[in-house]
Amino acid sequence: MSELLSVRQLSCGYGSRAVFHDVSFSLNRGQVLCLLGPNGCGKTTLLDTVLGLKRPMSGRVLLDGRPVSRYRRQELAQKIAFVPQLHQASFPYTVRQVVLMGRAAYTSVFGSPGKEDEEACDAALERVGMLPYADTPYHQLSGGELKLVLLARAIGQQAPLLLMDEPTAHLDFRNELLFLETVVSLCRDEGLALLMSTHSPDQAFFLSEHGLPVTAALFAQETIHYLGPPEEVITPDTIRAVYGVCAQISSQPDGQGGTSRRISLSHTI
Amino acid sequence: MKKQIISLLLLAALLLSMLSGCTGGTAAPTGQRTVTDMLGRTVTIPDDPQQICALNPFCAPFVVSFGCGDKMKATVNAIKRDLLIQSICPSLKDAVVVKNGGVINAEALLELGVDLIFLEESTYADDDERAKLDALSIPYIVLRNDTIQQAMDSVLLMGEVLGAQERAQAYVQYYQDTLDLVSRTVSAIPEEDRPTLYHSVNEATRTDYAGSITAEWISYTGAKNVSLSAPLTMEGSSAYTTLEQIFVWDPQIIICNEPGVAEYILTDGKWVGLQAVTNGTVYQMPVGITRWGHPNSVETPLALLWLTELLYPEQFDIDLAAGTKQFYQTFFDFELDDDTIAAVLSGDGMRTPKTQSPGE
Amino acid sequence: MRIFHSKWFRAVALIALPLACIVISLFSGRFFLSPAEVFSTLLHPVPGAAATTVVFQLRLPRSVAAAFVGASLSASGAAYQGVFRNPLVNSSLLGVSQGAGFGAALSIVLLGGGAALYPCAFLFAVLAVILSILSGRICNTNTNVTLILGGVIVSSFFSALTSILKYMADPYSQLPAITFWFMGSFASVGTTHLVAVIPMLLGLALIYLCRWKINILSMGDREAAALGLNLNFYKLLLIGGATLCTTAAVCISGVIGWVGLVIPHIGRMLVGNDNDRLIPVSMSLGAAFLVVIDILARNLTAAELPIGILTALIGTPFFVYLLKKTKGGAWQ
Repeated sequence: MSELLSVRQLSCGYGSRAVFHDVSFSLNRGQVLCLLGPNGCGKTTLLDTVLGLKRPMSGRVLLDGRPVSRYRRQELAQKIAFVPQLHQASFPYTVRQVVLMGRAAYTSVFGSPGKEDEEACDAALERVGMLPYADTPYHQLSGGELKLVLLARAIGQQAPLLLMDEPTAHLDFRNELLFLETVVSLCRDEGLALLMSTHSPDQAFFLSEHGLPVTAALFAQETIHYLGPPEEVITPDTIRAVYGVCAQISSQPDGQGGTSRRISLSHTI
Repeated sequence: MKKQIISLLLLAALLLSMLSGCTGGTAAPTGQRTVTDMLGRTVTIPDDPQQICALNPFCAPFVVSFGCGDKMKATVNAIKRDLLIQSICPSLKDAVVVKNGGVINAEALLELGVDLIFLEESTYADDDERAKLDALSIPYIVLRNDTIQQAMDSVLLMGEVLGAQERAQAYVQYYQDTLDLVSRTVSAIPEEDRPTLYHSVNEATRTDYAGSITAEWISYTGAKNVSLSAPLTMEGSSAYTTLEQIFVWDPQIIICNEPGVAEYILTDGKWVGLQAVTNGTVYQMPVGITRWGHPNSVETPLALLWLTELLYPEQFDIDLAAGTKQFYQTFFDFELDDDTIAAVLSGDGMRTPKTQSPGE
Repeated sequence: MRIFHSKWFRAVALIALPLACIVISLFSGRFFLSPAEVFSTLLHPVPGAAATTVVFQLRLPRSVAAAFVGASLSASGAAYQGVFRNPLVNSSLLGVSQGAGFGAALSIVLLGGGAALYPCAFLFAVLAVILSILSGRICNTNTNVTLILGGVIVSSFFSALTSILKYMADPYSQLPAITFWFMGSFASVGTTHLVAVIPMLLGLALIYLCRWKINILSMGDREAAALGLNLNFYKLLLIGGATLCTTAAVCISGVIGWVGLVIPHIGRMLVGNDNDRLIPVSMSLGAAFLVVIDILARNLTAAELPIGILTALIGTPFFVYLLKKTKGGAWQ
């Protein structure tokens, strides 16, 4: 059985200028891959390429052994669910209507969602604890609530691979934690593969400490320069190489027999 | 003796002007004179205008009638489409269209060296256009034809301006005689024999309104013009009604001035059930130099004869074909052959240029 | 009361509303027919009778046309608003109206109008849409903004061309015809015009079938694609359908503004923004609204009032009332 997602010697860019090149990694069900790197390193470009929204300059993205470019859009949506970083609110749909959109992957060419889809959508809302808001206009939600709704929409898509682009950007502490906890339980219970870009190395530690098989991928020198378990590849040296900052990694027992790692920044170089 | 010579000279001059209108004046204009136009304006004009611009569609055929067609250097588009008048006056083909969409091209007027302009009241009423003309200092005469009296006065004024008083007088006399003739006939017609009538002007649902010249001349025929009693939608000087309103009126007779409209009314399903359609009393009006039923028509006296004969064939027995032939002969010095007369009377005249020579 | 919430009841009500308005329209007009006469004409039409012509040739085709035009303008307005993610967009976006107007004017000037008018108007409306899309793509970014900009450019181009034609037109016969065409009226609609119902039906069907996908398209291209939507396919069907609708509507009745913008918003206030419900409701409301407006246009005065004036005059206060009543339907 082939890997769920396999990225091979991928180079991407705009025009003739490559943003990154020679990126390779693979991801299976139940696994998490965190993309880390400074702004503009190509995290979002990589996600877009995996989503089939952008054509690679060279290299391949295989999903269940088949290039994403060979998937029809709807087939792809049954395999990959996506939580965008920024969502520009459009018409004031209700929360349920927004989550139902995740069911587009399963509706017929000219169809609208049916009873089954509504049940899946309510279950997804339940999963993220947003069911009470089902009939609220979604643009009245707070940033954290909106992210959970977009996550519910992705859950409703029932895809084995979840893509998230800096999902916790702009969220306060509690919302960030709430979101990550929901993600952890999702990956653990549903066996989803998660590919997420994040601005915070702590999130890789967090997911790892909650029992998920996490791989951290650090962008440097226009490629994924460091790839491995977070506790191995996220070090003061690699942080310095990737972000150009001096930082310490502190570790302390988490009280449950494990170790809790956190990054603390000191200064730029 | 001296008195006699002067009288003779005057008579000769009069005869000359009668025969030739203003075409007689080959000498360069020296003098000027003043006339009063239809708005009561006093206008100083050349004694013998050489470059005439007719921006009033009503007046253009009269310029030809009065022998000045070859001096009409500029005009409006409508006259250029009248094939019959172009046969009468071939130089009209070269006349320049200097007004379109209500806007006059002032520079073109200067370029052409126009020394006299005939204007519509609506153009005069437009402040911008008037200012433009005033700046050109080309004399312009405003003519009106909203009523029969105005039309007659305008013709007489044109006759005076173009030195064709006799012909203008003859036309007005003919007009008046026709009105009198029709009135006499109609006065003997009992009220109940005078039919209800609907007049389609250009478009099927465009019609006469109270106070229009078409309403006025049709009233001489005794026909009960249905559209005068109802409110109409006005667009500029055009009045529109609706088909359902025509069903309310259910006129006994429908006359249409535009070629093709009568046929449309008779064949289109939307008009089925009107008594005029059922009885086949929908008629195409003749089309000669102008559409006879048009408010700006030069042939309105003929239209009166045509309609009166149509309404009361028993009581009004005239030879319209002969009358038509004579009309064009008298006022346009143009001999129409019988085919063309038939085409004019059937309403095809303007569309099929039978008077044009081959190859033209 | 459960019945009022059932899906079937709503569907029947949406169809019944414009139908009821059409039936009412058969009973009203300047030509006096008692209800009994209308009924007997409907049941036993007498060929050649005035009542038969008035009911079947004047009132029925007119109302049917008004219903289809209303449904078309509203549905295409709602579709455009969703696809372009812009609540201020209306169905005359992409130069449809101006293109059709130019086509009509061109056929009046060159061919004397007549049978060529409608095909000509239709042709140029479609051409205007194609040009809008092409000029929107010039800067190679294919965003909705450049598309709308393309529509604006093409609209003004065609309206300039129309002005030139008006300048060239015979002021005594052609110019009034062109002006009248631009006024918007159902006055001249006859059974022959109902051919235009075919493209409208086709367009309405396309919009109806893709209606739920509009929700997803309104999330923006990137998200919609990630949600599994074939963007080009649905945009083609929706913009194509809306264009078919608008073009045919403009061909029948001239340019009627207001409806395509405001009826969808009235729909939003009534049933929310979910296009799954909004599209059918817009169609039904638009159809009923324009039939009612046309009844008024025919009856308020003996002379007919232009539809565009009435839609704005009667629609605007109603719109403001709804705005107040629903507090903008969750719009902020």
